[in-house]
Amino acid sequence: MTQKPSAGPVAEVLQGRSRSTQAMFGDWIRSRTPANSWPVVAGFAVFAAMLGLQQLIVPGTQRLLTSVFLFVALAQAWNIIGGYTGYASFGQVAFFGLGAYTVAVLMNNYHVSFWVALPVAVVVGVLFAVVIGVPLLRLRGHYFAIATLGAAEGAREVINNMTSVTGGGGGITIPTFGSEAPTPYFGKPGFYLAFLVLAAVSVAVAALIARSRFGYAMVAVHEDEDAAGAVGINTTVVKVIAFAVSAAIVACAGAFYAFQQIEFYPTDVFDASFTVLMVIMVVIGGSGSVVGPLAGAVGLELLSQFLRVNLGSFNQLIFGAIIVLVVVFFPQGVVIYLRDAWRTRQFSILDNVRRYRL
Amino acid sequence: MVAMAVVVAAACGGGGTTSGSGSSVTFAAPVSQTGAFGQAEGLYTLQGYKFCVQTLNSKGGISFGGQSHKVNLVTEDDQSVAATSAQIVDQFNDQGDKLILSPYGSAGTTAVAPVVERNGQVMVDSNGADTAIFTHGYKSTFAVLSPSSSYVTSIIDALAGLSPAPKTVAIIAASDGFSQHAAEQGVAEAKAKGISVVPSATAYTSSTKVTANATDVSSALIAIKGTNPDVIIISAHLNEAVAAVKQASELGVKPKDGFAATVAPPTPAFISALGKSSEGVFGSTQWVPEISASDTVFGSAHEFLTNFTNTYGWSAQQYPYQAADAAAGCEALALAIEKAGSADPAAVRTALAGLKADTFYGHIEFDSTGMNTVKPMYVIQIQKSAFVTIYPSSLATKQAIWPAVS
Repeated sequence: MTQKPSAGPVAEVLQGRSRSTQAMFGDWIRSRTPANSWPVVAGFAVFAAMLGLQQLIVPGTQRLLTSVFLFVALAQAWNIIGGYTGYASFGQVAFFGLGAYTVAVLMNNYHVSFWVALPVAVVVGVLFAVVIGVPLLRLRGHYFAIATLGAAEGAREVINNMTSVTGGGGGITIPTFGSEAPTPYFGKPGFYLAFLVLAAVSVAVAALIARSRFGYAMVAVHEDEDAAGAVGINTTVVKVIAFAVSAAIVACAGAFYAFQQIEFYPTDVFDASFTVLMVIMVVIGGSGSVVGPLAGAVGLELLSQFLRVNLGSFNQLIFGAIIVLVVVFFPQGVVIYLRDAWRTRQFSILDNVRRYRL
Repeated sequence: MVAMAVVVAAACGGGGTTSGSGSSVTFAAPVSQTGAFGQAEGLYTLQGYKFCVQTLNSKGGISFGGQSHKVNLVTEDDQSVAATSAQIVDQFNDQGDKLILSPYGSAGTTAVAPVVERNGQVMVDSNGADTAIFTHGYKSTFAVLSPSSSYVTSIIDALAGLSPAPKTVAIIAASDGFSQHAAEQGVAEAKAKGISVVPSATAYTSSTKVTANATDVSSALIAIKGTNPDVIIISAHLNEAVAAVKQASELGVKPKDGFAATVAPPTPAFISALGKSSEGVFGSTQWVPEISASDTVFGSAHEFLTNFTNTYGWSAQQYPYQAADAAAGCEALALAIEKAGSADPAAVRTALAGLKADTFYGHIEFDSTGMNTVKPMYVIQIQKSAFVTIYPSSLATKQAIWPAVS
């Protein structure tokens, strides 16, 4: 921490001292080979396939898939702070709610276009992340988890009690009908696209960060924060930026969600189950990887919808039981298990449990 | 990819018959089978819908176009989450299900109303009473139940008629829109009846406001403690009302005359959760079997009670009124289809707007916003684990026990 900062600690952490963004991109292009290009190619292929799929499915199914895309974005966001950086935040829903309420208040009270309100929502999320992140990220482990949980509960109560601005517990409505609408409602196909792009951008951001100098700094903080500090990483800045990037994605998701829902209450958008689902999806998929949260979000959200439709009043019980079983048998996450098993040709699940549990 | 498509297809499968096709008409409803409302209010609503459809079909279904049409009920669990209710109704639309019955509660109904409007569906709201639902100019949502404004005012009116009438009341209100709106109207009514609200007239928005669905309301009770109100009124749902009565005795907060609450007391779950502590609690309710009302589907109010409670194994002394709301909503939809002579949603919408029907539930008629403001609300008191109607006095079967606490 006693280095002489050349371009400020933030720029240094983000870019490194000797390489400009352009140079990094040039390096990245030159270093492409068929063997290491497949994630990008596969990403674009899936994105294109999802665009194609939209033409084949009815609007209600499009709406179902928007919730899958929503959770892909949320899980990627949580993974940045909880997976890579190792700070398990249980308060990410605060950014979701703030994003939602920023959009709703601006569109409802001030008749602002959604496209103006959206970046404002992201800024509000990032500012809140920095404001609470600077003190809270000094806490570790359980203490950090509990403090963020408290911050989210507090944020909800503030929104709940600012009745004159937010409508309080009475909820808020985004005008979407006729001439009252500041931005025409997207409709189901529109939101399908919006959430698909949001999910794709989140995956891309996570993938880029993971392979950047900043990403290695996050992993270093996760592995051993004191050692990371000792080798010259400004751990405070790394943690706050990771928290803010995560918050930006979550707030953006909250903004789109608010517009899609039209009417909602504080309890809907500050629902702690959003945070819990983000955590579960990342843990089950495999934290600290890009594919893990993606697979976790897609798999769990589709499973949850499938059980809900087909199992009636037992659906949540079965869903919970499946989560417990998966965590017991694949403690490191399904994707990481498959990757390691493929590499080592050891597919025994019992061996896997022994390896991680004993 | 393929696997995903298969799961998606399965997740939205289970489809229903298209409404109007063949000889059956489909009513579709998101219902809360799991989550906060899963064990009580959501269950009562689902049973009300089922009972209505069963009864309609046993009478030959709905007759229009010179034929009788059986009713097919399609339901899906919304996990007590409003956004899921909305998503389900969109999927109903894809299946061609245009005739919607509301999910339980104002939050779910609020989320569904704009979806219904946009899809050209039509919804009868059986259990979402928040007046805010009806302020957005929606043309396709019609509520059979009395709006949120009546929930606390009916309690105040009942209390004011007792002797001696209470001089002070404290109002604990949950933070959700329905409970807040109900409390707001209650404060105005108390003022009109000369009852003062402690600790202050606006306390329900601050010191005596509790988080919706909270199971800890001690902060509100502590705010009340020094003010010694004659009656504590809880404007909330089941969880908060149960917590308030339980924690009041733990914290030594004792109203001079008793407790009253919206929504919760007239449910079997309230009595089973509180046992003896539920004795004497007053509750406002949408329906009581004493009303002199009847129709050709369910018979009289009393016959509805007997048949419904027998079918689902409830005691006739502890009947969930939410089921009556649900059955009435379903019946209103059926009556509108008969009146329209078609199951086409636009025709049914027009028929609902002009519907004037006397049913086992009372008079059903909608104002221009879609609310049923004609039907009154009633007040019951729990006496020996039975719901006893005490207000209006013309329907009272027994004297109110007053003061309700000794």
